[in-house]
Amino acid sequence: MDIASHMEKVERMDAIHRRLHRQEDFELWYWMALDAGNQAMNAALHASGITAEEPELASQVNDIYMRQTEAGGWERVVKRGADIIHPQMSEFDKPVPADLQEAIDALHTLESFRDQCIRLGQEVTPDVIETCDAAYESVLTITRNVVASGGESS
Amino acid sequence: MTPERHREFAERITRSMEKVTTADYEAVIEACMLAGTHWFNVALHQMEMSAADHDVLHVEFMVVHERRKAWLVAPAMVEALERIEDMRGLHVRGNAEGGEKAAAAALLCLGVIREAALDAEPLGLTSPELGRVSLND
Repeated sequence: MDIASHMEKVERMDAIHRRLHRQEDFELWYWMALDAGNQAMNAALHASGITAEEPELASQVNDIYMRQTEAGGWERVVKRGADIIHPQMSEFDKPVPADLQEAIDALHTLESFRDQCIRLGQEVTPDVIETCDAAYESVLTITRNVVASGGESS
Repeated sequence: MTPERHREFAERITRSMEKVTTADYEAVIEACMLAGTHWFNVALHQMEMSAADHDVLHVEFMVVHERRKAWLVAPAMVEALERIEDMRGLHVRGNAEGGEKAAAAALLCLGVIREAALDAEPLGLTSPELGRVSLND
């Protein structure tokens, strides 16, 4: 997907995230941060030339994408180097600048609570919420800077 | 997790959905996926088709023979969760047209999965522990 579309998704998801209660709605509050963070990461990776803006849409599985057919339907295709779905499940063919690596690490920190707290029942403490919030804000700040600077590292 | 804990999660996520509308289709589809997966696990645990320590993450990630058995027992439930999962690429990760319509459909799918979970009863099948297949066994 192109950078503008990724950033539009970030704004939509971030607005929902901020509307939800971080404790009462933790699961959806967290998930919108995760989705927005991943969208922002894709925009920054494209802006940095590490991955490409491609028309195909990422699925739940690495390297499987949805491609629109001429008839307007959708078909699955296998390819590499477009949108990622999880940074820790991705391989990059170009070096990642230090600031973007910091954002990847922050997104990884956010993701580390995904299965534990959403699917396996680990207690959501104030510390967990604070850690997730800080990681999310870090991802957004860094990736937005990368996109705004056209991929130039600070 | 136990069926009770899955149910608690599904109900919490469903309550949070009251704060969004189908205009927030990314959130609706994701919430339906999360709550739907918890209900899906309730159903499999209740039918004794999966052990409490063996939860499904996505239908798309199920081992083929386990997915086949679940589909034979509860086809509408399996297909409903698969349909929600298929919406994620198009409308959550991607920007395909029709997000609001998809979100409305996801809510209907969630209802199908929840109903199947609430109706689920032990089927008296072979223990799921004995159905696992590995070259190391």
